[in-house]
Amino acid sequence: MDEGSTGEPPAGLGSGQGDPTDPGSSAATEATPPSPPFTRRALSTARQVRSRARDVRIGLEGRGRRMVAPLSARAEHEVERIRQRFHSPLHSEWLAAVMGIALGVSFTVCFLTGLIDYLAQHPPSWFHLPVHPINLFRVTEGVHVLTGIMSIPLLLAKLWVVYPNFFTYPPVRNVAHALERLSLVPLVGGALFELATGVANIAYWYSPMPFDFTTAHFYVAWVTVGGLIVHIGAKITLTRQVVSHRDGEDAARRAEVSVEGTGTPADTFGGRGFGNGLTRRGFLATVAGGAAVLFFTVAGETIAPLRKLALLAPRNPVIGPQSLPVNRTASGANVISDALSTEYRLVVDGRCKRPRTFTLDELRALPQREAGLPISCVEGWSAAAEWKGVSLPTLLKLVGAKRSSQIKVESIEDQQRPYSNSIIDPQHAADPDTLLALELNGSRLDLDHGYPVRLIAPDRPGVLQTKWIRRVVVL
Amino acid sequence: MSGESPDPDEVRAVTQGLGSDAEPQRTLETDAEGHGITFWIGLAVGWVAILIGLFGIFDHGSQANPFKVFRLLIGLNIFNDAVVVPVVLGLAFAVHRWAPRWLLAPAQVWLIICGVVSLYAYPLVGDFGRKPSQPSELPFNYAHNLLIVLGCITLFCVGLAVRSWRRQHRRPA
Repeated sequence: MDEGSTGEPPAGLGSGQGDPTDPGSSAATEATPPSPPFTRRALSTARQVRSRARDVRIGLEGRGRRMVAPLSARAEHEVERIRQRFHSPLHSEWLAAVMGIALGVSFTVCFLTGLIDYLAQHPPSWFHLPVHPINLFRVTEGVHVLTGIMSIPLLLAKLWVVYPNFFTYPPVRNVAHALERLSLVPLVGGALFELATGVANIAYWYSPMPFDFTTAHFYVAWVTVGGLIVHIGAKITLTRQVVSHRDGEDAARRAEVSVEGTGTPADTFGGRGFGNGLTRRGFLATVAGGAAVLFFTVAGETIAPLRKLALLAPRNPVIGPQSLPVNRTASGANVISDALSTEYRLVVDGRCKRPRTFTLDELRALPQREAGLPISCVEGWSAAAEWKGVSLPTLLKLVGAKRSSQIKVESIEDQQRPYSNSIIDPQHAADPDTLLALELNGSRLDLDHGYPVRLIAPDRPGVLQTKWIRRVVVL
Repeated sequence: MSGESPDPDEVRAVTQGLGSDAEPQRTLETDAEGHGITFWIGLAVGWVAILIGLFGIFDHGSQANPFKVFRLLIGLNIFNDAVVVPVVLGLAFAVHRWAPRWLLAPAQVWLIICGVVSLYAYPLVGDFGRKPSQPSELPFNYAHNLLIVLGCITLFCVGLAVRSWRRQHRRPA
């Protein structure tokens, strides 16, 4: 950043005392005599000099300038006047650049983890989450939701910092600039859309979303990240300059102090500086503080040690039947009578040598396996639990199916309903910890947890851990 | 009159541009005209991603409901620029105008953090998604919990204000 743009006031108008606020010397402000305060006269002179210089630059000098100046120059003059109304040092390039970097990182993490989660939930033929580590989906989904929530203060602060850029003239300079500015619509609108719908989704508030949340959220994420890439391409050079050029930031900070003219440490949050509100570092710390408050009041829905702080989490991982939350209840799925029927049978068929049906007692008589596996919901909460049941490879061996088979499990639910069945890829089907669970945390499965039989497998989205299973099909 | 200290904000606004009028002030906007290779790569890759998203929305039109998605997307854009930011600017102006200087930074911190937390908590406090048949969803009294969180933030900001007040009153005359 060149010195001219950093607000270093000329002699007699600013500090006028050399460099009393050299950041390298914390005692400098106390050692140097305080600068004389501004006077009204000096301020008036400075205002006139600045105004005249601006008029000269845009060709508006002279009498009757409004009458004779070209329309574009008058428009530029008016836009410049509006921009000058944004006095706050918080509308600065440095702050915009730093917040842009933070937001770029958080949105990139959010997009990548969201991409993994979407593919896990709607797996194409070429994509399978690995069986191990068993908490991979739990981590990516937790990071996705928490990063999104923590991006709320970042995004709002960034939009506020760059708001004066809304007033630029001419609004479009050339085709490339037009495309770049056009990409701000998907970037800003898409970012707001993603965060707003994401928060509404985890709060189970669907009325403002007259569309399928998952589909819209996923594709608008592409639109948003596209806008982000264009923006990064356009601003990366300048951002690097602004952030790496210590002089720019230091000089701006000097200006903040020197205009006060007292040379004493200011009463601000965020270090010494202009004693008239937040400094830019203080503003950054405040935004980070907002993100931290959101993190600590929500993260406990997936990070167990923080559970007691999770006052604003939509879930508590120990509240629910058998101390485990439930997404879809048996009454909501309309399966109560079928699930409790004495006529219940589990059918295992498809491409196997000995298709057969099992009563619940027959299933209980088979070798049982216990596994500690998490339920990880796409809404961001997760909880570990102890499951016990029949290992899927054991069952497949019993009916004479190949170990590398792909499996489909069907629920008692109406098969037209979403997530009433799911596909288990061969890696998961062959893993001994993939269970047809009969017990949870040492007692019989609760009806809301999928009684009589449910699927629980390592590293799978909760929505694909099919409950109330009535049929296992070997594909 | 001439010896009276003017509003520091006004001073800063006036002095910040001095010395820079000989050549246009460099801003994030004007420097974008560098148009190096990074710019064009970003433009191409970015618009490919945008088009993938747009194609997906229209291709899954029955689920994504493109009209309503775009209405919300554009609407949020306009709402932010035309309502949220002006309201925040107005609030900031009011605080700046009436709060004593020692209280200004703590008040700003309080407003920013409380505002963001309240915004996030709004759908939870409103109980819009609560279903009586599903007690493990939204299991808390969120209005109560929000008050606790805001209370903690307030306590923190009161601490900042006390520190700020003491610093100011420790200054030499």
